[in-house]
Amino acid sequence: MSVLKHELRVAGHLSDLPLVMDFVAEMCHQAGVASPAAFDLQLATEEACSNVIQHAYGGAGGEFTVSFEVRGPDVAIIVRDRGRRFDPDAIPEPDVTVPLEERPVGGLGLYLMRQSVDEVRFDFSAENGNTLVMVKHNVATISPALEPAEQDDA
Amino acid sequence: MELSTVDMKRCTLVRLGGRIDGSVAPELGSKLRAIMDSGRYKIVINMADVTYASSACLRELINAWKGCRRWNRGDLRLAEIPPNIDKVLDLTGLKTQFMSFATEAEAVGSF
Repeated sequence: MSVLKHELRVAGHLSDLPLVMDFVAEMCHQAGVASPAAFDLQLATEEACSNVIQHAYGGAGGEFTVSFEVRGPDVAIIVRDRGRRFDPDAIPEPDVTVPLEERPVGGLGLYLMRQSVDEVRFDFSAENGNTLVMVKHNVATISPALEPAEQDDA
Repeated sequence: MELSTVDMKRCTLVRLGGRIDGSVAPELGSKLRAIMDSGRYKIVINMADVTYASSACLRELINAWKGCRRWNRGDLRLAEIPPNIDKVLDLTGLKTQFMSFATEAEAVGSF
């Protein structure tokens, strides 16, 4: 299967978020991803990158990459960092039915990420650090053949 | 992010626009805190021109909402929420928590 794939490398500060969002928006445009799905992909990506910046690197900065891949009708966004290991099970899922006054702060980012895409997978290895793969199904409408694919099998 | 405020007779109207992501959400938080610090706890935020909001934006809205409502001194109410933003509020269970209105006039008039 031919794959449209582009990668963005950022320094890892909150001020990089607009750059990441512009990248996802532009790639969605190229892949023909329509508005509600494009919004969902931007949201999931920002939540993922905010986690990397604030938790994996503790706000101190640290390089990470965001890859956008079109796999047939599906879009995969892969975020890779070499910061602290992220354990999604350590973050309790917020109970969104509880009144706000009684809710603990936090946890909304991961929750929104999971709600916005169809698949979320976290992996960690000592060699490669954290790898987060997010996939949204049946949203790409433009064939990757229209765009020269970067054959990057790394 | 674009933000302008108008002090009305009974509340402060905040017109918010653009993309509210994690890079600008702290600025939204400090603007809302400044309104509360000036003794104004009845706030309407017109969301009509907001094109994007993430959990970073929601956190600031929740903090301000709690600050306004403390000791029953006020409330933070939303108006003219665009569909994409409405979905985010709905997913996170905030839609039932914040009072929201279809028009700015209704929201301002609710105070």
